[in-house]
Amino acid sequence: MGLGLGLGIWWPTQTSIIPGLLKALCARATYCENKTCTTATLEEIAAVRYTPPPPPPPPGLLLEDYPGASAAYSLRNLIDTTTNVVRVRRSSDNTEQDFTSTEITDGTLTTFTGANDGFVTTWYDQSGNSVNLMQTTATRQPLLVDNGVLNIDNGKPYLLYNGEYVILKATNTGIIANNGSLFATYNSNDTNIGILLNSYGASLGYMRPNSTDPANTGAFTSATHYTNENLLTGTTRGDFYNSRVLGQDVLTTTLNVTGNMLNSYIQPYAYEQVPPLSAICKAKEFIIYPSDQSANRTGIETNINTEYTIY
Amino acid sequence: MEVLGYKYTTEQEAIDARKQCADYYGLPKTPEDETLYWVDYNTAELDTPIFWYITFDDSIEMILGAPETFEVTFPDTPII
Repeated sequence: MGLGLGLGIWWPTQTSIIPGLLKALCARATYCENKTCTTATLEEIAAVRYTPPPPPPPPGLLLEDYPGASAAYSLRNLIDTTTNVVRVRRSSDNTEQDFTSTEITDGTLTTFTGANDGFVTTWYDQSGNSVNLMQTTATRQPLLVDNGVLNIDNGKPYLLYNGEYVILKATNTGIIANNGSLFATYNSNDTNIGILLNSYGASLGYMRPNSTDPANTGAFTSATHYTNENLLTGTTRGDFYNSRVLGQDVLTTTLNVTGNMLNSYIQPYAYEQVPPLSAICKAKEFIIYPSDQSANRTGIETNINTEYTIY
Repeated sequence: MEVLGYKYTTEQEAIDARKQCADYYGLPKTPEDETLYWVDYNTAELDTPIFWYITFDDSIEMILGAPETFEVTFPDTPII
């Protein structure tokens, strides 16, 4: 029988033979349970008694715990079936290659780029709907590797959008429906950076996390396309309109999207039309559901925050 | 708003300029690649007469020559 900690009783034995510390270490005790007895040293007993509990299991993959997304972009795996998360063009000779999330951080990507830049040509959709975000023009592709160094912010890789025309777009639409939900993780250094909701190439509106002007944060061109949004940052869970969080990660959760958004898609966008273009956006994760995720909101936000340590 | 770049009166001229730049940089490198162009052109659709333009980038001066400065009317909200 092993050294269990069941309902039996331990009592000391042979405690008077060896003095001092040695005596203590070599002291033995006998454990009996269900009429079966085991004798062990105190060290053995302590080892059993003080074995730390196993760490809690890591959070599950987000799209496995909260399925049904219409589009999902990240540099981490959001579901087991994900293979490649991005396609990258290296600046040295314009060769392109797909990369998994592991290959982004294990050196495979920077080996591919060498001491050059790596631009993202495709941010693959992990939802299974193939709503990939793409850019066919080299000078408009976001940067992932800068002179051979992977872009890392707060310990996580990101896509750098550093100019008004740097953008990834979906060629197919229909990912946001009435009462849809958006979960966007990114940060920016400028009040003119935001997340853009597009439809058929015409802007439906955009959300900027750091503006106090509702007309800017909710400047949809028709009706009200969302009725509730919140910004999570630091220890503050504040109103979307009244938060200024330049230069640090934000998670914007937009629920109950309403209005005619059946043919729209989402993209980070540097809305600074006037050169010089100093505004940047560090994009990390965008997940879009075609339905209201109010019931899952806490769980989804917790999963994201566990990964990115936003608040 | 002032823009530094290359202005074209027809879309075909802008397309040709875009192809010049892509050819110079050997794009697309393979048929499977996503990257087709080096730069793209924009449409100044709020201006009359409408025109097309490519914004300046150091990497295309050797191809398209010296850029010029011109006015472009932008919308209040971003339209991609």
